[in-house]
Amino acid sequence: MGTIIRAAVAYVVLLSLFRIIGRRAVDHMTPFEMIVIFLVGGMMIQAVVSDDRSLTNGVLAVFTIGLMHVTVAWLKDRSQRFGRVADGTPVVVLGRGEWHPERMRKLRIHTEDVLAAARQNGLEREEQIKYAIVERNGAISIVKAEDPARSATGS
Amino acid sequence: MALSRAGDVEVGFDEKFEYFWFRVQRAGWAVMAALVLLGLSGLFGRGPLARATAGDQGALLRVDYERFARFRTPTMLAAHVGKAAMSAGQVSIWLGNDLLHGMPVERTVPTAVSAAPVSDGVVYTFQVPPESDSATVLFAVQPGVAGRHRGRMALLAGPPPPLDGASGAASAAPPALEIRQLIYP
Repeated sequence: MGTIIRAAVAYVVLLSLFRIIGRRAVDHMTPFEMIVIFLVGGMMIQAVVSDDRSLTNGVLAVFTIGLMHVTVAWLKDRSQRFGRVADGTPVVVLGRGEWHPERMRKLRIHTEDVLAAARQNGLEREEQIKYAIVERNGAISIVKAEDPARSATGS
Repeated sequence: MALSRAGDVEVGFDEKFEYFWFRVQRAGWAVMAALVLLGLSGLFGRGPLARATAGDQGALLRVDYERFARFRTPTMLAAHVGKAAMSAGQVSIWLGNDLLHGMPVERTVPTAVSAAPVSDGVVYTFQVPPESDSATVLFAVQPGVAGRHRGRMALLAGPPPPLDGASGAASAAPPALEIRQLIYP
């Protein structure tokens, strides 16, 4: 019983932790973020499994995590509000030539991150970006401008 | 189901919610920082706030222990014994079943000469140098249950019970010291 409770609590704690830390820790896997992911996961495993290294205990823990995951997915499906709390919403950080530095600061996203995403989409310059959107999973989506001059003026 | 628009892109951006969530994040960071500071202080065990003592300075038995301990995490009970409690180079300390239940003794330092079960606990007997004015015995325990935990420890009056466990209730020298702990899960 202890393992099941600890696994459920660990899931909720980790979900809350990563929502509070912010999206940046989830995507853009630089070594800086990898440290957080691996250390946090490793520490929680020990707390969940404790000194019971049996297969039974491991299976119970894994099944509990799986069930929690399904439950959260179901709740997100049933409640838009819960979905926003669990995942957040996409955030537009560049639209029609206008940067939103306040939003970027809150998300801890930098211009370099947006331009890196643009390059991954085959773009070379900022003017070629119509919209840059930080998705719920921390990834940056780029909507390409059809005509760089037109996207800056909004016409 | 249509999502909210930002310009001409349908993206579902909820600016009001995101600003609200940023305030929640900041509150979350503050809570995390507070918990880490409290952890450093020992409120969750292993720090200054966790240290506690049962018994008075100069008493025949005084026990230093952690008032905040953690589930399945070793902790120490340090029993300081005065010279008057030693008899024929030995000292016997009784640990009540209420203490041992949920917190078994993993080992002692020094190693006990004997550990004799009695009806209401276990009596540990240690060899001490005759010329010693005092002695300290460490009981390494590991909490097996979470929550509030209370138990008693006392010096044993008279000789330790025989190893065959034939004795009845321990004749512990009153009063027994009460060890009160909060075991975090």
